[in-house]
Amino acid sequence: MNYPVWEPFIANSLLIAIIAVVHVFVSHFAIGGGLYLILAETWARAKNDLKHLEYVKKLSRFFVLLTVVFGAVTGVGIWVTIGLIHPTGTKWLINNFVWGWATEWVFFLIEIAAALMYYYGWQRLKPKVHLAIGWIYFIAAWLSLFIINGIVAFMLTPGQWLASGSFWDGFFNPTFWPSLFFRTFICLTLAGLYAGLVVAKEKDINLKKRIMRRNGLFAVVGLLFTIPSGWWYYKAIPAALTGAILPGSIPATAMEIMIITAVILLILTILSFLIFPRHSGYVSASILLLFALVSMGGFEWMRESLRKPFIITDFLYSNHITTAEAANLPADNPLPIAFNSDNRGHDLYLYTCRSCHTIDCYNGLAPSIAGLDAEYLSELMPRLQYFRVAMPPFPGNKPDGIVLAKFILEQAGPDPLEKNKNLPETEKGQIVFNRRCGFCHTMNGHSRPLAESFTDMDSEEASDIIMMIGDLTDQMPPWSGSETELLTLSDYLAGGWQK
Amino acid sequence: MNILNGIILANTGPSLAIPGPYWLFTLLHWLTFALHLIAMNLLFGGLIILLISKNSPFRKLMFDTEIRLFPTVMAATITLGVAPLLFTQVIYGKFFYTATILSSWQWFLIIPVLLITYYLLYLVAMKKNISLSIKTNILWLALIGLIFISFTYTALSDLAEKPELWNNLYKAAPGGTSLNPDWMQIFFRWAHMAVGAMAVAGIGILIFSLYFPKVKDNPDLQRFGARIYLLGVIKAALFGLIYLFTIDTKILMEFLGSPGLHALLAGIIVNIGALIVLFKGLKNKTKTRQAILWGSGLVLGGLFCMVSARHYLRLIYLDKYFAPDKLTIGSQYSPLIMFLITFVIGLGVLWWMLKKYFKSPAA
Repeated sequence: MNYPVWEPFIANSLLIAIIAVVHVFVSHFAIGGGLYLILAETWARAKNDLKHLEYVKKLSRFFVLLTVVFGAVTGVGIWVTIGLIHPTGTKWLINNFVWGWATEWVFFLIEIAAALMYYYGWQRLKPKVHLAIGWIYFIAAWLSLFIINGIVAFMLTPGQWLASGSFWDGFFNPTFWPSLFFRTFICLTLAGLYAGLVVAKEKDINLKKRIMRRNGLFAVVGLLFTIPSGWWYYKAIPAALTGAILPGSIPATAMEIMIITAVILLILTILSFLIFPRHSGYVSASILLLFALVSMGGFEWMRESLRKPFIITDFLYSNHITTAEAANLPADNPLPIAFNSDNRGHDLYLYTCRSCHTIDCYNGLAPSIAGLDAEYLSELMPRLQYFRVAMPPFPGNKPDGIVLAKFILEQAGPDPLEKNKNLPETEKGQIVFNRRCGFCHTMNGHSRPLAESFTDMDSEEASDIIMMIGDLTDQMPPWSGSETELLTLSDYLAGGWQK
Repeated sequence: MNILNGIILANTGPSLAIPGPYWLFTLLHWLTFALHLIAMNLLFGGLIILLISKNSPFRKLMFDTEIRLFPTVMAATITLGVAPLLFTQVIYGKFFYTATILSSWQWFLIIPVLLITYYLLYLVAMKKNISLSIKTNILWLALIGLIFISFTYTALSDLAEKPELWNNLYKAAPGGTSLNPDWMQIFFRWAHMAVGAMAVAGIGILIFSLYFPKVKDNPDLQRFGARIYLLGVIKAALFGLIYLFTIDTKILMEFLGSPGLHALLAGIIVNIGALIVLFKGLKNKTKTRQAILWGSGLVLGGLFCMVSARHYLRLIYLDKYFAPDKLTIGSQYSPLIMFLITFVIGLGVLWWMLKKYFKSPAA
């Protein structure tokens, strides 16, 4: 725990997600758009279609303003943000892949220079040279993706690197190629969609129809190819990770969002760009882009959530400890914290929880824990690995667990059962179940369902079992709830949950 | 152990070892940082000169035709700034990350400010139908953005060199709102950089007069550029001197006994040399071109000397916390070769594109 922790007003994971999704939405266009521009220019010049060429010029202006400025600055923004919210992970990525990053920087340099010369060179350069610079741009941009894709894919599937520590093992990891193809097709899709936005206001209807259809073709072909490459990508992810895609889980929700919006996007693109290109305007083109943004956000969200609780799968946890360090847990000594305030509980919360959680906003702790007693919550800390949702191990010792539990309970606010005394019994039961059992169990869901175990039991028998759970296995903490909680929970387990 | 390179680590699994010798990262940092400084100085210094020199031939030239150069130089500044930041993070990562986290908000804000500043420059460059006074006001806003960004970099680079301040700063404001408390020192460090940027931009104006057809060999512009350079160098020397005196005496004494002093003196000497060459050359029309090229070369050398002096000062500041010979070194030879090959090919491609662009018949 060598670095201080930043606690911005939103969850760290949400902050980086927003910046990253917005960035990739533009940076993928920066690649596909490069190919689109040179193909469109080649075609327009071959046909001597000056109007079409004029449109390509207009697109190149939009392209430079969006990709060279917004794309480049938000790319730097991701770097700045990850350094702030996860310096440990950033240091691992920098030190292990610095020559990859440096190589990517060379491509970035060429890309920016070529983009500007392409844009400013319409009048100045001979068509052949202009096109050659366009090709240089596209190749450099795609190679830039080639490098970054290797490092991003590495975080999900580090593969042999875990044993060898070799640059190449990490770079050409199990999802490198499928991810590269998948992202390349996303680039094509976005090129068609963004180009649709630029031509939307074209007054020459014939030209608009012609270009819209071409844009549609670009987008649709790209989208269709994301299906096999996406499947390939999915199959390349180890089953241990895809196993987290359970109904109702975050990866499953993210995947549903990605697929559903992609299907709608495909249908709308066919309708808007291919069948009714004449009527396609700013609004429809913007709606398509919005669907693409949501779909891409879903994809990135799924990829990130599959990796949880790791920053680098099977190696570095989001709470800054490595799997090697985790092997020595539970800790005997207090967690050493280099930067501490006068509030140990807050410091422990920042180091061990804040990477993924807030108290009561995104991924908030309060709804799950409010009303628990500190003893029970601290007993849960060394058992985080048994939780239904993947959690990193707690790196502190027992007293640390108690201090942390007291701090977050203080922040979480009053017991919802005390706050709403008139709640129906089933709801009360569900609240107690969620905070006492729900971290690891469901009643009849996919994770350690309890329904069967409590079938045909009455409330008293259920109560006896609850009282014994601490003795049944080390994986469960002993019961420490109040008498009222015990009654509510035993009623709930003994059939109340079905009402 | 290798004193020059640190402790060599056998490749036995994941590690945080430095993937190459320390000297290589230092060299790459110096080189790329100097390139970044050139672009940044042209942008920052150029913008200051444009805004404060109301009747200058430079201002007229820029507003008449060449205002679009600003966003282009901004692109170069950002792109060339990535590499030194990368190499810094490899070697000094723990210092850099800690300082930026302590001042998280200040550091994070550079992204939106950068974005707005960049678009403001494009707005002035691309919008034809806005008045000169509005353009000037927009450029003032852009300059404020650049001042914020450059001041932030100065403040955080300084904070990264002062670990003894960190714990108290964190205790006082754990939410990322700490600011470097050595205001006076960072002001003079920043002011030294800002006026130095004007000096380099003065050289940029002289180069302008060699290659831009509209102002080719324009003596007014050349005199103006040389004057700006002279004033910039004098002020940079003054602020630099004050900055040195704001440094803790013990550290200053150590710096004066280190290779940093040699680098500093070399930087001063080549800048004086550049002044002599330029002003002598400008008096003789037949030698002006040669003088500008030589002078520019010397200024470039001076910039490199200043970058290395800065490096030695950092090492002295971090002496208690960081020792190059204690770094653990990993071996990533093939990725390094990949980078070097890409770098050479990249330079070739860049050269080819620039040649085609500037030598095109329409140029």
